[in-house]
Amino acid sequence: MYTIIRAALICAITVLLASCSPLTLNNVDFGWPVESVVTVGNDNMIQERRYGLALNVAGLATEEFADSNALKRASLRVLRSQEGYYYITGRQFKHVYVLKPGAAELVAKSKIKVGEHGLHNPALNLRPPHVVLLDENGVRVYLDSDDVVKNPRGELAKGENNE
Amino acid sequence: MNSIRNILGLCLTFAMLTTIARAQESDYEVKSSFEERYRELKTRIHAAGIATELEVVDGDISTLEMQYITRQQFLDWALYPQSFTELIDELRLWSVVTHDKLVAFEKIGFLTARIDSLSDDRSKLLTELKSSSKSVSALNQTIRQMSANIQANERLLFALIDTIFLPYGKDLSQVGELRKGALSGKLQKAGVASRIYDIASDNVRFLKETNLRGSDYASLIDHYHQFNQKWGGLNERISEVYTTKDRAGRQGKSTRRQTGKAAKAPSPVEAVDSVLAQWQGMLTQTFWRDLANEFSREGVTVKPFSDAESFAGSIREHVQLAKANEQEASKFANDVWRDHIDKEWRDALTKETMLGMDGYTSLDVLVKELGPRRFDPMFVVYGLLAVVTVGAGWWFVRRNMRTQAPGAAA
Repeated sequence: MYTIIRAALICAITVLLASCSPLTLNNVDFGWPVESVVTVGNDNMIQERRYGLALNVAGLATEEFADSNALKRASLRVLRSQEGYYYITGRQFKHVYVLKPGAAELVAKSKIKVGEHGLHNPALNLRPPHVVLLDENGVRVYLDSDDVVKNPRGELAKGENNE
Repeated sequence: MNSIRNILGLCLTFAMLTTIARAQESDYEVKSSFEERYRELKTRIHAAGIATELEVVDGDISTLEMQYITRQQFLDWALYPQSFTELIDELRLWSVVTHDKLVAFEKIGFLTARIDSLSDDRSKLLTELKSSSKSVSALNQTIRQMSANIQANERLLFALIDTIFLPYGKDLSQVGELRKGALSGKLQKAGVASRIYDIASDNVRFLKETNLRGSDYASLIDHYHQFNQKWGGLNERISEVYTTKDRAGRQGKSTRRQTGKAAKAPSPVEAVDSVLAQWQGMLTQTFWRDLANEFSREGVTVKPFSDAESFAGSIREHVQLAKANEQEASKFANDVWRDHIDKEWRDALTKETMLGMDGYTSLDVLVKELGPRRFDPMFVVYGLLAVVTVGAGWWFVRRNMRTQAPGAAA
C-alpha cells in the first residue's frame, strides 16, 4: 500500500514539475557562417548590420589594453558559435573573448589566452563544434567556449570538410 | 596597349592567387575575395565597349566558378540572401544582356550609316527628277530608282527602330523613367524622329515633282498605308519616350521659363503626324487630279471629282448622259474606260481606300454596257474545249460498249 502511494506521489510531482518548467526548444544553431569584420566607431560602438548586433566595446578595450579608447577605429573580428557564444578578437589581442548574451548585455564566459605577443592578422572560422582562430605564420588554434582545445582531431574531420 | 593589358592581367592573377592562398585559411577572406572578383567582373561587363570583350569576361566568369566551386556550400550560406550559383548566373545574364545591347549598338551604327548613304542618293535622285533634260525612259528609270531608294530607306529605318526598342519590350509603361531616358537618348542620337520626318517629306516632294502614270498609284497608295500603319504602331511609344524626356527637361528648366512666353515648338511626333497628313493629302490630290486628266486628254468632259464618292457619282451621271449619244458612249467605254482607266487605274481604284473592288466592278459593268458587245476569242477556246471533252467522252463510252458486247454475247 505504501509503495503504491509513493509511486502515485512521484508521478504527480513529475507531472506538476513538467507543467511548471518553461518551454524549451532544442537543437538550436546560432552559428554565423562567416565572421564579421567590424570597425569600432569613435563612440566605441560596433555595428554588425547583417545580424543586427550593436555593442559598446569600451569595456573590452579596458580589459585587453587597459585603455577604454584603445580600440577606436580598430577592426574587430566577431563570430557567433553554434552554441550562441560571441567570439571577439582583433590585431594586437593576446586573447579571444567568449561572451554570452544576456538581457541587453554580453557577459564574459571566458577569456582565452592565445599568444604572448598579440595577434598579427587574426581570423575566426566556424568549424562546429569548434571555432578556429587563424593567424599569420600558419597559426591555427581550435577553441571551445572555455579554452583552447588541445586535441580536436576526432572532431576535426567534419569541420575541415566544409572548406 | 595590349602589353599593358597583359601586365595588368598578370598582376590581377597574382593578386588573385595570393588572395586565394590566404583565403584558403579564412572564411571571411574566401567570401571577400569572391565578392571582390564578382564586383570586378560586373564592372568589366558594364564597361565593355564592344561585344568581343565580353567573350574574355565569359571565360573569366567560368574561371571564377571553377575556383570557388569547392566552397559553394559555404558561399551559399555566407552570401545569403543570395547564393554562389545565383551570383554566377547573374554575371552570365548581365554578360548576355550587355552582349545583346552592344550587338544592337553595332547594328544601329551600321543601319544609321546605310540610311545616311541612301539619303544622299535620294537627294541626288530628287535633283535629277527636277531637271527636265532627261528622256522619258531615263526619267522613268530615275523614278523607279527613287521609289526603290525611299522604300529601302524605310525598311532600314524601321529595322533601326526595332533594334533600338528591342531591349525595352513591347510595353513601355513597364519601363522605368531612367531607362526611358536612356531610350530617348538613343532615339535622339539615331535621329529617329527626324529621319521618319525626312522620309515622309521626301515622299511628299516625290509626289510634287514627279509626273506619275495611273499604274504607279497602286504601289504608292500601298506604300503610304504601310508607312502610316508602321508609324501608327510606333508613334505612341516614341511619344511616351519623348514625353518622359520633356518632363525631365521641364523640371530642369522650370525656373528659366517663368519669364516670357516662347512659342511652343511642335514635338517630333506631332511634326511627323503633320507631314504624314500632308503626304496623304498630296497623294489623294494628285491621284484624283491625274485621273481627271485621263478624261480631259481624251476630250471627255465629266463632272469634276475629288474623291471616290464624287468619282463614282460623276461616272454614273456620265453613263446616263452617254446612253443618249451612241458615238459618245462608245468613245467613253472603249477609248477612255477600257484603254486607259481599266488598263492603268484599275489596280489603284480597286484599293479599299479608293472605290474598293465592289465599287469598281459596279462602275465597270455600268460603263461596259455602253460599248458594243465584242466578240471574245476566249469563247471559241472554251467552246472548242467543251466539244473536245464531250467527243472524247462519247468515244470512250462507245469503245467500252464494243469491248463488252462480244463477252456478253458469249
